[in-house]
Formats: sequence, structure tokens, C-alpha cells
Amino acid sequence: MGELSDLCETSIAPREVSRRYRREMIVASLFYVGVIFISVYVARHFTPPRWASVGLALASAAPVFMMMRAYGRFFEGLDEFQRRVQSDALATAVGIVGFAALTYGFLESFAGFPVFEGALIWVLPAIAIVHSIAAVFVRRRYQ
Amino acid sequence: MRNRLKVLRAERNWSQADLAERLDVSRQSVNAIETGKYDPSLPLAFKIAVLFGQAIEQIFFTDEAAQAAE
Repeated sequence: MGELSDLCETSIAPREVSRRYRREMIVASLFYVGVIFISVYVARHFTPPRWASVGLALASAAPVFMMMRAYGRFFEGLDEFQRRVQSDALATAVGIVGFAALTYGFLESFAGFPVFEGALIWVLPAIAIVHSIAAVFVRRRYQ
Repeated sequence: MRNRLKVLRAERNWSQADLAERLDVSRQSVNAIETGKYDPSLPLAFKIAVLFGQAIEQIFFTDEAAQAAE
């Protein structure tokens, strides 16, 4: 997950852990861009059979799994206080994004708000972004 | 929870970074514990107690115990 707070002076992750995390995230991100480029190209220019479409979809998710694994390794490299900060931030992010998604779902269903096709794709990135912002505030609470 | 970590550290002329290194945690973790914003786990509390050669309850105590002592 994106760790915006790494860029802030309040970052407290051990240097080697942050460095490894950044390296793994860059590799996963490059892989993600490549896979998405190929997937979109194939989907637009060909009509692949269903099994191939499923394969493309799963291949697109693979780099995201790499990112989640990178975050998991980052988390494992932290001490208990740092893990508390990360956990609090993650819980906050899941709560905010989950509540926002649920609320918008109700608005779609009952108030005719526009339906966003493929909105589920944005759930994890939204959690990652809100988590990064929440981590800065959570960290300040403990200072 | 309250603690005497800052006093014990000062008695030894250790900086927060020194103590953090000895405990294998971040300096910010030491700061959060010292200021009472974060209560350490039992394993870390034991580690702190062993480092200072004191019982856990001589370093960490409840707010009520601190008020009673005052």
C-alpha cells in the first residue's frame, strides 16, 4: 500500500525496512503498469475467449498482490509501536472507505445516483490512499 | 499507565536513541512510552525491566498508584 508518510519527516520506519518496501513497491508498480497495458490492449483489439479474459483479469490483480505482500513485509519489519500506528491507520482507512462505499451504494439504490461500472477496482487503492493520510494523523496522536 | 522510564534513562545519561537501540525499537517508540501515550507489550516491558535491573511494577504503574504515591 502507498505509504505517503514515508515522505514525511514524521516517518519512523527503520531505514532498511523502508528501503526494501520502496524497492518492492516500485517493482510491483512497474509490473502493474505493464500488465494493465497488455490487458487493455488485448481487450480492445481482440475478442479473447472467456478463459483468456479471466486470465487477463487475474494477471492484472497479480501485481496488486505483490504490493500487498510488500506492505506485509514492511509491517513485519516494524516494532510493536509502529505496528500499532499502522494498524490504527488501516482500521481508520477501512472504516472510512467501507462506510463511504456503503453510503454511496444506498444513494445509487434509493436516490438514483450514477452507477460507476467497475467501482470495486477502486476500493483497495482508496483504502491505501486514506491509510497513508490516516497514518500521519495517527502518528501525531502518539507524539 | 505511567512509568519511570525517563528518570531511569536520565540516571544513565542515555538519550532516547540510546535506549531505543538497547531495546531494539524505534526512538519514537521510546518517546511514546515515556510520555504515556503508548503502553508497551508485556515482552517489551520485561525487556525494559531486565535492562534496568528492576521489577516491572517498579517501572510501570497505574495512574491510581501514581496519585496515591503523590
